[in-house]
Amino acid sequence: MATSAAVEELLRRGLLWQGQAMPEQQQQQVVASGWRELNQYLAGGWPVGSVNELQLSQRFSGELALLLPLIKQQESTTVWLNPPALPYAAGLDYQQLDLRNQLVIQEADAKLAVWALEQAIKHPAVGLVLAWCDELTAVQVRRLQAAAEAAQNLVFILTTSSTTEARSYVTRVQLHGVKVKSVAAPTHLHASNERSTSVSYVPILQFALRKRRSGWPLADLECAIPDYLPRWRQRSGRRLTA
Amino acid sequence: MVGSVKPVALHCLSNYSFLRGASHPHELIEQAYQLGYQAIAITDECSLAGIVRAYVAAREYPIQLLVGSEFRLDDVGTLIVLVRNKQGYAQLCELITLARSRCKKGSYLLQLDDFKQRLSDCEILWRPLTSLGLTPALLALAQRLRGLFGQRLWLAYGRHYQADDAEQYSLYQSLQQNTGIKVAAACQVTYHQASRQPLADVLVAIHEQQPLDCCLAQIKSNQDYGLRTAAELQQCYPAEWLATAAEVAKQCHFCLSELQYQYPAELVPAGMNATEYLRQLTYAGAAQRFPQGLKADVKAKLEKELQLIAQLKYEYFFLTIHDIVQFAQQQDILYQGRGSAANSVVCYCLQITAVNPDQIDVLFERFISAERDEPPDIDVDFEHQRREEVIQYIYRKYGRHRAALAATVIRYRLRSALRDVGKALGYPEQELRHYLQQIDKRDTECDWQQQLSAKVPGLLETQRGRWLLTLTEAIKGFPRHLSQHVGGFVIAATNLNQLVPVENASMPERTVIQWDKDDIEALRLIKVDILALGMLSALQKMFKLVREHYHQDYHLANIPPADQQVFKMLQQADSVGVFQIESRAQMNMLPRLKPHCFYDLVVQIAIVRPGPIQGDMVHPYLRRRAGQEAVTYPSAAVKQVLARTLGVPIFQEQVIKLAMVAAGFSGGEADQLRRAMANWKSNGELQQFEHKLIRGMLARGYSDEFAQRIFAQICGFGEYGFPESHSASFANLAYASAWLKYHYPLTFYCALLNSLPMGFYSADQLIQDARRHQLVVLPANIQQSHWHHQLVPLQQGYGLQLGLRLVKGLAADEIKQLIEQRPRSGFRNLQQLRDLGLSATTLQRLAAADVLGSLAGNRYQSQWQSLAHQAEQLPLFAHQQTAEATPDYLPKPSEFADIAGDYQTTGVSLRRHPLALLREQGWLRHSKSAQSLQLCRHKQLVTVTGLVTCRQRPGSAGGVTFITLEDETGMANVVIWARVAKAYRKAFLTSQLLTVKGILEREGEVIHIIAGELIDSSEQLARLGMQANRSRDFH
Amino acid sequence: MNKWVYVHFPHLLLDYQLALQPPELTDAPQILVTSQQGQRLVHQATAAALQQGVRLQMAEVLASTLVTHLQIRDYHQQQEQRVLQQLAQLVYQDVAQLVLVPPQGLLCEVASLVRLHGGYPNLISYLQQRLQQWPLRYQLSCGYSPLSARLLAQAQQGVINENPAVIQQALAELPITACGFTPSQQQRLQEVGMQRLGQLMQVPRAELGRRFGKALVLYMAELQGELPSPQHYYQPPLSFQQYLDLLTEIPSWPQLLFPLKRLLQQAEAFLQGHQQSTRMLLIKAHHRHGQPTQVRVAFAHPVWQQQDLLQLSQLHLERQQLVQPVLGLTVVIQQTEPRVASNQALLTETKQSETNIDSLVSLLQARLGTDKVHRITLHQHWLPEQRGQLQAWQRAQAVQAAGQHSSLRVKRPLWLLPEPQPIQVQDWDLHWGPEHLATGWWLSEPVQRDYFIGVDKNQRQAWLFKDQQGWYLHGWFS
Repeated sequence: MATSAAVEELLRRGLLWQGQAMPEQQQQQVVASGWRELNQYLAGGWPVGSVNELQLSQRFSGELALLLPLIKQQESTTVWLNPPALPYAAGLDYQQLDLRNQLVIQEADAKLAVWALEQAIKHPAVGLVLAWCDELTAVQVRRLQAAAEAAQNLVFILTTSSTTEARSYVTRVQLHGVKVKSVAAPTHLHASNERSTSVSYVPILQFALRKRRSGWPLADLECAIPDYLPRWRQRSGRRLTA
Repeated sequence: MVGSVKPVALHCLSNYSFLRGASHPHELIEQAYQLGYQAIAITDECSLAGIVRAYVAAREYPIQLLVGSEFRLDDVGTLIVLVRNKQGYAQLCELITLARSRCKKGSYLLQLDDFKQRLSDCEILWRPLTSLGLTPALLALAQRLRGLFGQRLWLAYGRHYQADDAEQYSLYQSLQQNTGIKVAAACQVTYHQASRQPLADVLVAIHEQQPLDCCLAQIKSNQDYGLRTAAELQQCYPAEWLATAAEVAKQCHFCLSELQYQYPAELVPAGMNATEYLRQLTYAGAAQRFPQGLKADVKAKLEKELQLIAQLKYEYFFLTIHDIVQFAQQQDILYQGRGSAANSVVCYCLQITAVNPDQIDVLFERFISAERDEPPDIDVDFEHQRREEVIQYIYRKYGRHRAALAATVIRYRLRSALRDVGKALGYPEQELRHYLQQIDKRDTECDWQQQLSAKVPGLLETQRGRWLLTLTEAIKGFPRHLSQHVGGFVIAATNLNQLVPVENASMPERTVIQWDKDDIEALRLIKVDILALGMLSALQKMFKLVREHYHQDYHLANIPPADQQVFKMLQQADSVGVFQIESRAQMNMLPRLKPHCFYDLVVQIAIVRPGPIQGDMVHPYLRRRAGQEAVTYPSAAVKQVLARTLGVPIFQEQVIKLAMVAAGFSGGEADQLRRAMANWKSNGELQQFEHKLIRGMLARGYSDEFAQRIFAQICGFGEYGFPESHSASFANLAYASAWLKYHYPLTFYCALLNSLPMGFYSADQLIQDARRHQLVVLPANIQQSHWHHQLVPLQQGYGLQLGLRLVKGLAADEIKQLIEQRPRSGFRNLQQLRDLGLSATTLQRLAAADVLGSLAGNRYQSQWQSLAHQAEQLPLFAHQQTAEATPDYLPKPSEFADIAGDYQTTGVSLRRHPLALLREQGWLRHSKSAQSLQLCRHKQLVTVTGLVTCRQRPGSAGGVTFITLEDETGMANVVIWARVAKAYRKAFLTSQLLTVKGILEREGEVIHIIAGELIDSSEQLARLGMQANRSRDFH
Repeated sequence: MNKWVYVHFPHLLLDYQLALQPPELTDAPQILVTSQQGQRLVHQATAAALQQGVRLQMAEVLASTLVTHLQIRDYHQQQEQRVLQQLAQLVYQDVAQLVLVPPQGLLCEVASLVRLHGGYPNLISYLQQRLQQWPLRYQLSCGYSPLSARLLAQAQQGVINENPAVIQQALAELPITACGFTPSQQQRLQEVGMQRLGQLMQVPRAELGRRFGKALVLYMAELQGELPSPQHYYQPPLSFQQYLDLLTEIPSWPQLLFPLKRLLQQAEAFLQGHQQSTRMLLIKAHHRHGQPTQVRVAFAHPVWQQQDLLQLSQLHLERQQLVQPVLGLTVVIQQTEPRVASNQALLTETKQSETNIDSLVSLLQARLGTDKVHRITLHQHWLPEQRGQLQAWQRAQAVQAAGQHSSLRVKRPLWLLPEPQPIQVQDWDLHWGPEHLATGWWLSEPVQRDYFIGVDKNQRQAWLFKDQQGWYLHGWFS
């Protein structure tokens, strides 16, 4: 279907929006997510100045590993609001993360928490905000999005709710946990002396993009997140004696 | 799984890796044996200091001891060297010597290329630095090591259940695949059992000089650094790597017993063998020693000794010592052999010892016994100011690569242990000092832990307190560092450092081997003790003065023996300055024992010692000697042993002979008894001898009471039992010095003063004793004195001219140089001294010591004039040149000020004794003088005042303190019971001038005052403006 | 007329400490100890200790054997300095010309005060009465020169007299050892027989110079007061206090903002005038009767501008409630610190106009409370739960990166549960371990745990451990 000059014009002025192909000139400013497949789905990475939602089917199933590359490359401060457990200094330091740039806020009162979230987003010295909260109203999300855009900050709301109601998030991701795929690899390590096939296992994050700026929602996506996690090994359930 | 192979331990640190290993070598060996190990390697860090102790322990068990050492190289990691055979052992010793020679004591330096063409007969285990993972640099290093060691290189993998075990394991695996170096399972063992983890952590804290809480990064986080059972090893290592470890162990089959010791060969002239040469020298010596020919029994002893020496091949040992003694004779250095050597006729003939065998009955078994087959132990004393010449002679003759000093291992004792462990556990310094003060080390009933927990109850409630006690007890006896034996030399035929590693000692140009005297004895090597004795220097000076001034040529050998005048002098306790019998306790014994022959002196020296006192032998001996108690012997055999000491055992040899005679012990068993006696407190071997002794004596018909008494006396002897041979050598010198004190007193005092510091008394006390013997002592002064004290002719006889060496803080050569330029008629004025280059400060010191009297008047005036040109020329005042006349505002020194000035600047005063002034002022109205005590009767209440010159609290006296008070007439002995010391605590501890009210006790001429009340009269001294603190405290 | 008075406090620090102790403790023998060349000597002692034979400069070991349960503490120079400062503040109220003579002396120039107190004796007794307020042992002495007064006071030979001749006479009696000479000077003087200062005074200055050098000549000149002795006098520290009377009674904080703004304006002027900034503000609301309510406003970083002061104070005030209506308002600033020029990057990008995160922290702390804002900190500790912690945010807190202890940088989970949760080990598939942890034996509850990395049925990797009590979940790897 030949595109006529008029359509071309519309495209150029960004009024026409195409399903698949990413219009080049609309190259939004993005921050690489650190993972190859995810960057493809997000047309290069997380858009700058955006509030994004991560819906967790279950906590602690790869979400921090997913965000770690972002946190590591931050020169300015990353704010953690109401993390579900203690961000463990020894573990973060093992991954060479600069502890001095982390600021953790714990505020049980939801209203005050949102106020704090907004102050953090607006503050020039903050580069990335991770917030764990259950339910944000559309109004609150819109306000946060406006603040993020103004401050050109990157915000992630991690929640266990699976609501599908419309929110003005830029990206909405549904995480379905990790699956392990076996891959042939050079010799592999076994502490006990029993010979085992030289096979290695790669953790694959299952997720769905329910909303993204750069295109249609996509389901049943996969993204390998091998770094930062201990290696897997296929054991026939035999427990190593102490 | 591969057949379970008996485990081996290839990398174990004993506590001879100072502050790293937490177990003794024998503990590691015993534990390895219990766990069924086939072989265990003791690999201390750049050291073989602990290997002999391991070898001695390993002899008892069917387990192979692998000899090796560990080296930590910064960019390489850890290299563990295991010796395959004798050449390998020599190569390892040389490498350690090289590493240690590059640094001062306690550290070492090695690079990789030091290993080129070395250690060809050793296996090398490499534990690489793996924190950065499998990097190209690591692979390159592996290739380089492969190049250096070829097939003898192995990888040492130790699994200690850390977080990164998995990564480490795969790294070693890929290293093995890439480089072909096989991996051997080798835990890094720092203790024999997991229960030693706390002690290991404390050692780390001590090393870091930080409390435990501050060195969490350095201490291990679990207790997996001990020896593991075979099952545990199979659990955590692949069988293949365990097999490799066993394979490495199989390569090594060296044992320390292969080290034979060859003696320096050059001592025997060409064409003769050692035995003939020794016999020839001995008989030549015998001709000199016994001009009137050999008596039959002495000749028989001589032959028996020569025959035994030849049989045990110890000829070289005697020749070595003979050579050293010859050197001393040529250099006119006075010497005397002592120790077990004094029991040998051969040594007497070879001029090594000066004790004539028929003066004391010689027990040759004590010196060498076929059964024991241990090399003899000879100590030779030399003049303490010339001993260094002998040492340098030995280094020159045999070379530094063949002669070195034996080591002494400095170990943790209670004080250092409690302090270091306490600091590691975070206790403040003050609190630890407080705890140490609560412990009385001499309290034998309850040990230090019971004392401390009784005195500081709160301590045991806390966990930390309990750990303080247990860990302090555990660390006691741990080696802290190597230091040098006082004079024990080891001499080798070829290079010493192929026999044992050699290190730098802390003293310059001194080298030390890594083994101590017990190790040397265990391996049957020869040690020669070169010791220093002050009295020998003094005697040498006395003989020189007698030759110079009295034109008599005396020396140790030709002093007329048994001079009754001399013994009479000693019986009156006039023994100040005489060798070995000048102390207060000896002076109290002399009038009671009344020695009148040489052997009495031998007994006198031995009897005033803790051994005989605790064994309660002193009083029976004295009673029998005074005829108050019948001298009985339970049997003829016992009589033959104890006849010379009236049936009371005094000497160690007598106890051994008793065991042989009365209990049927053989020579060797008897000597084991002697060795057990020497350290019965620490290891309690004495108990097993108890049954043997008692049974043996009962079997021979002695009464049970006699057997028990003898055994009690043996325990009393303990480590203090004094060998008769030692006592005899000392008695020789004691008699010589007493003889000279009687016949040539001036040379006696002059030589003693010139040899200070030595002996029991200060210069001032010696001078006072001389003046009490009506000798003329002239004060030091610039016109007559030399540097040393001198004898100077008077109208009739001689006087003692004190030397300028008395003045504190003077430089010897500056003064000697000044005296050389002194005109015959003496100096005219101070300016002349300045023109001769005397420095201003020296001038002031001479003025303050009042030796410039003839040039500038009293000490204030001479000081005033000496200051004259001292100040730099002030422009303002330059023009006013005042004459040297003494200004009127300058006071005249009072007699008190002069006495105080003398003591301050020289420690000696020939002016009146301070007490004389006090008595003159009437401040001592109610105090008797020391001399007047002679006239008081027994049990009379008296008061005495004097300067406290000596405080003694001997351990055996059960808390009693002996104090000597000195006044212008002499000295008084005061006995202070603990109760009185506590009641008058302040006076007891701090007074310099002490007034004592008490009961006089008299026993013949021996007088003691039992103190009832102590008063501190020091402020009377202060009124005199003088601070004479000259107390010599011996605790 | 002797215009100098010197007050010497021989046991200043010890007496001050005694004053703070409960009365029954004060008569226990106590000493303060200093160490000179490795020797620990008694520096100050209580009357009880002196009475039992303890002397100054005596060895600590001897003192502790003399007096059985003797309390020993270390002497600290700076503490004594601070006590002297406080003392000077007290005496400053009466004597303008005051000089601090550390460590234990105060010198006062009193010529100007004689008329005020009507005569010399009243002046001295007034001074003594002022010193009574502090239970310190002291020795007071007059002198015609600073040195003369000081020597007499330090030698416990204090002279209270107007006439210089009496001072001269007392000085003559002083022993050479108590005249502040160096040990070598002292020894030389004694060696020529000079025991008393008087003897030295008789020696003509020319001879003195020739024999003992210039130092002694200057000493004598200073002693006789011939040399002018410039002293730098004591200046009290800096502070701001302003009260504002409200016309009407104001019941709640919000209406108080307007007057507060005016007061903070003056505070800014004061701080700007002195180029200082502050971290602590005290606001007092005065009521008709009863104590004023006090609100302490702390800032995470030093501020001086009025709108910063206002914004943060406002947040603090909102959280307080007012119990009674307010009649007056006071703003007090006690501690100030010199202003640090914050390094403003010249070409600031668009975003980081103010790079300092502390302003956000101050904001959050003001609204949520200081205990809600944390840092993630790493500690050198063997117990995992102590190794990583959340700590309240302080500005100048050096965060210890584990970088330098590479040996401690081991594989650890990203999350740690505040409390280990008991689990059923059957639900887990153990992949890696065990890692043995067995230390802390020297503390009251040593720990022995075997750590494993396990995976649950949802493929979530977790950090598990087993100890004597059983199996626990301690952390998650993502």
